[in-house]
Amino acid sequence: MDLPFALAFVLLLTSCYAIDEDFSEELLLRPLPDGNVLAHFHFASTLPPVDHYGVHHRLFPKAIFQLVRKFRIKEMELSFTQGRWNYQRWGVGDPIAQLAAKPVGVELTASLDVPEAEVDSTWGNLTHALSGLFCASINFLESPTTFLEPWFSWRPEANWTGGGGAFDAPGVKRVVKGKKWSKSSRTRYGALPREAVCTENLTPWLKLLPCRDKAGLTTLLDRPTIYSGMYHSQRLIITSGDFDRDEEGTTLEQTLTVVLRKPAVSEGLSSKLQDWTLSGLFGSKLEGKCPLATTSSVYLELEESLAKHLAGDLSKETRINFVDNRVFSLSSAPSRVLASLSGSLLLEYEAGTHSELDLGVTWRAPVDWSPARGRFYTSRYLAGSGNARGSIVISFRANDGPSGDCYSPGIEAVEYVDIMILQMIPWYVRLYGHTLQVSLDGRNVEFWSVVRLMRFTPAEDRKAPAAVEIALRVSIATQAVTLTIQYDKGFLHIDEHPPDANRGFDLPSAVITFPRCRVFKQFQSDDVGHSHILAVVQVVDCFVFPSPSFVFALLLQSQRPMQIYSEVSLMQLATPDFSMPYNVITLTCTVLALYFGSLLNALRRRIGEEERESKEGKKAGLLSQKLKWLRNEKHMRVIKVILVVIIGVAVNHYLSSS
Amino acid sequence: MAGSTRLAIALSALAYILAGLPFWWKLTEVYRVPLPYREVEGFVTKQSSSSAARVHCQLQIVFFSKEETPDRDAKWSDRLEVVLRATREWSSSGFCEIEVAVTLDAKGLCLHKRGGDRAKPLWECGRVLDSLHSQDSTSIDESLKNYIGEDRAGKYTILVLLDGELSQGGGAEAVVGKYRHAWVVFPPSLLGNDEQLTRIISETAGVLLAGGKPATAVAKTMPLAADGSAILSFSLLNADPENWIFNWDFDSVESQYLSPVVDALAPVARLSVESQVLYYTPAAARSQWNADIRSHVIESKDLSFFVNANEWHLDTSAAAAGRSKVLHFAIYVPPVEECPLRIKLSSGRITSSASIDGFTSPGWGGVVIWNPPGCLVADNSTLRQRLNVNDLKTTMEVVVAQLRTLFGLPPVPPRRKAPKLSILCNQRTGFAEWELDLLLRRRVIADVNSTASTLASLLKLVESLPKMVIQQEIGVQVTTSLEAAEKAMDAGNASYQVIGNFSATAKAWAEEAFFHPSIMSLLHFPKEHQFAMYTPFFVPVLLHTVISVVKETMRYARKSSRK
Repeated sequence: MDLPFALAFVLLLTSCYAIDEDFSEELLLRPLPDGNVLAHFHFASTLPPVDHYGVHHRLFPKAIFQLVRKFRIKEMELSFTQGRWNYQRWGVGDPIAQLAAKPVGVELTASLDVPEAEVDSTWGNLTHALSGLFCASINFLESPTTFLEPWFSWRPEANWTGGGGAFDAPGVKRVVKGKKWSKSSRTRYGALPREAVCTENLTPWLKLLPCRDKAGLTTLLDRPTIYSGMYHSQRLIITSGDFDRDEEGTTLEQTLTVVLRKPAVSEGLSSKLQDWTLSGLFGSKLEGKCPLATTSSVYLELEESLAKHLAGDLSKETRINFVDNRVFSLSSAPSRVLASLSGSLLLEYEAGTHSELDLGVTWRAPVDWSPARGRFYTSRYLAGSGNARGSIVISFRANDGPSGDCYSPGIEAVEYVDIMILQMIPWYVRLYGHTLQVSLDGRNVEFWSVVRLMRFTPAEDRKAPAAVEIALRVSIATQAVTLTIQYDKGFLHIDEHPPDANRGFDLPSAVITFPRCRVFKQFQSDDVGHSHILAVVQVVDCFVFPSPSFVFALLLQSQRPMQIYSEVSLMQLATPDFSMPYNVITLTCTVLALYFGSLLNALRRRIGEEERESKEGKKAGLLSQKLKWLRNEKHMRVIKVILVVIIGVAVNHYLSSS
Repeated sequence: MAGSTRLAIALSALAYILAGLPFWWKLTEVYRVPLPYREVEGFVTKQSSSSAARVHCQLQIVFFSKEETPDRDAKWSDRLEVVLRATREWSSSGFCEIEVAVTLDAKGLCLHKRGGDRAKPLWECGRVLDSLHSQDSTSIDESLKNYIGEDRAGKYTILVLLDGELSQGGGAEAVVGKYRHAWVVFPPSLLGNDEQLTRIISETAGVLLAGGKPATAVAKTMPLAADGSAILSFSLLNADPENWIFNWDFDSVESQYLSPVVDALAPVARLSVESQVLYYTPAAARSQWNADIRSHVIESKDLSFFVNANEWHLDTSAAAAGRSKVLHFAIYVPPVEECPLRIKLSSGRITSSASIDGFTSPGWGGVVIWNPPGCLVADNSTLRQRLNVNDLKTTMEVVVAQLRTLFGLPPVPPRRKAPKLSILCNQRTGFAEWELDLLLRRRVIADVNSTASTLASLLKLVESLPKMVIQQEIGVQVTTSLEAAEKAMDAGNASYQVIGNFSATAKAWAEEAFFHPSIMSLLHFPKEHQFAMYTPFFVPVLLHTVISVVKETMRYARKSSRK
């Protein structure tokens, strides 16, 4: 590092925190290859460090700030998702897909700055607080059977990129025993796949925005529209530097990603693409901006493979008519165009300058493009049948076509792919570690020839879930990788079943990380300003924070390892008959009563004598003589009436007293 | 005898079942900690019978004269006796057990009269008091504080200055200071009028001990959580940020105006302060344009709809755990179309032309309407302004007055004409020392009352649900609470701080026991369950047994009659 650069670096780091609060709102729209439209709302609130700014704010939501202070949250990510992100059609290897794709239900990851012994209890309190804040059952994550401590997958300090990382270190034992890796990890991860997401979760989320849904981009959020889309994911990301890196403040990012169904079929192109406008999608045009937002912009993103249809080489071609060209026409001209180095385009519209913005795309020619799909297509499924045992299979199949902006810095020729799997398995699924198998291209291979690192924490009944983290390294030429592990299904107590027990139990998604695969987009230098500085990751990380006008564009540039989530699987357990306890009681009581009755009779009755007596009985017995007057019809009727009255009174008395 | 064996068998089977019933009944019982029913009952009756607390107050009235007094000793002795009797009437209103000592401290004459405890030291006669002439009330207050010396909660002094030159206009005049003393300027020429003397002294004592209000006129509860804490949550509400956006320098406001108040109230309540700025928060009540005063006017009957629960997301604090109490103070900036906004009182009077109006809602907090000065609007862009400490001075004064109202004190100390009585304000904290003592006494009473009612209803609940498990912990909490409450009631001469701690502990534990999670979860356990469990066994078995007994008896009777 030469001296001027080092100086600049130091200066940047020292002046990295902002001096005032800031709020920005941005919306990114992207036509998807299958004709649907992706809308990604991104709201960011930043807060200078408490030491410099104090604890009273004008924009930053009080509730979040109090959460951060009380639970000492360093980082937290909470997502509410409905529907499944279609990786094959909507993309894997681009930053927006990375942000948007989340497992169904609720997912919470939190990194807390509390002593290690208190992490679990603080996590529990945090889930309760969040549950109250967002009207969701996040408090179910308090139970130690629902969350785990990731050892490798969320560790910022783990060096996945260059050589010398965990994969390559010679002395590292392959099966990690003990707590060597987890020493300083105060991160917890939990997921609730069952949680339904609806407006009652959105309203408190909107309440955190200074303009709520009264002005600006949020006015587009028409509830029926966004909940009838194909995919809906609402997230809350908190990063706070108040506890260790005191030169950074607190950032709250709120994102909402929806994939809206393609508009009703209109005449015209035979292609699956449909024309759309903002008002057609959301039911209203965009009017004005939130007066409190520093930045309020709408972006239209054209993916690389779509942008190629506009011009052969974007880096040379500078004069593309975006409003009207041979592929599509736009309803209004963008105020700015940003082109990434890889070739995708970002058309920017300022929400404030247009008094009324109704962005729309009209397709001129049938075009076909494919999203950045990543190296592998991943799926997870359960094999086997019956209520006793089965196996979990995670399979990776190589994709053809562009693998997106998957980038491996520092390595000249990429010959292999690293895959990191994190899987949390509930305790009632009893895994057999020895049945863990890997097959490459359909052939079983020796386990340790592929697996570089493994953590296997067995479950404890009713106390902790099983945690499996496996790091694989396979050759780039591999077409298919399959991991299987067998399990027995355990039995649950009758009161451990949820109300709709016959629906089955959800197995949380596996989190699959491609650590060498960094997802980012880079924009050309004159677009962002100082791209050579922005290219340096650390500085980019820092810069995302203070320069408000480009939060969004810079976010797209930040490097993060590619992460995907598998499907949520539904597992059937043996469901008991819930009336069983009462049946058992009744049956047992009947048997006992039967036994008692026959014993008593055996002790008491003499068959012969009774027969004799019944013969003699023709003569009236003593009792029957005394009750002779009962035989009288009239008396009998009176007694019946009295009996009915007594029973009635008794029942009435019982009912009124209870 | 033949047949009697079988009867014996049948009877013994029945006897076995009958003998087993108590054991079975015992086995179906759930764990219930024995709760101190009798003690709680005793405590409740004791607490309700004596309406006044047993917190002690000490009042000394000193007639001070530098000159020799014209009257004779005997006359003075009578006079002191009269004064002593007159001040007793306030003892119940001030929530305290009063102990009065009256002293005449004149040149060459020192007379004492007192009721109650003999052991307490008396006023020390003959100390020199610097001249109070040509001083204003505030500095007289300070000089007297130094002169009187000892200053602790529950000890009050009324100094009757027999000095004609101090009085303005020659009449009697009383001033209640910021600390724990008051002074009455009484010209010696008026000494013949005993009625006037006792009246002004007893009025002054009434203010000093009870805020001048009888106990019945005071709200029974304090706006505090069970543990004696409350959060003061300040929200600046920009009704419509399209026109103007205000934010504030709350850090300075807090340190300048609120911290002294919070510190002063510390013995009574643990208060913490939060703030936020909210936008798009229109009021729910409509106003009307009044052309005469060129303002928008809102009727006082509409004020109950002013707080817009749908749009004002004031939020309970996320930082406060459990059953906390939040007092909201909403500073409302009306939109341009409604500026200036004023309140029309129920008397028909429209509030003064000042830019600030406000109202309180008991137990909830207060709203202050802050009209931007001149209702300026920037031409076409949004006006943005940061309010500093000076802009908010009046607002914060209103807030402190509202806080006083919420705690049951008059918003500003009242003045009286006849007899002439004025009360000094504590400019810095808004609460005088004697007012804080009064609040503490009220809190102690409120705590003890609420402890009694909470414990009584808890025990009632426990009694009404015989199948509810009562855990050990609840028993401990009830006992702790009861002990603390009794200590608070019988504390006698203990310092106010100690009594306050006892009463707070009592209330906190009582609430803790009442809201114990194990009670909350087990409120419904119907009898039908038990019937469903036991009938399948008991009905067939009893049927067999009873029938066999009946049959055997009949048979036995028949046989024995045949013989």
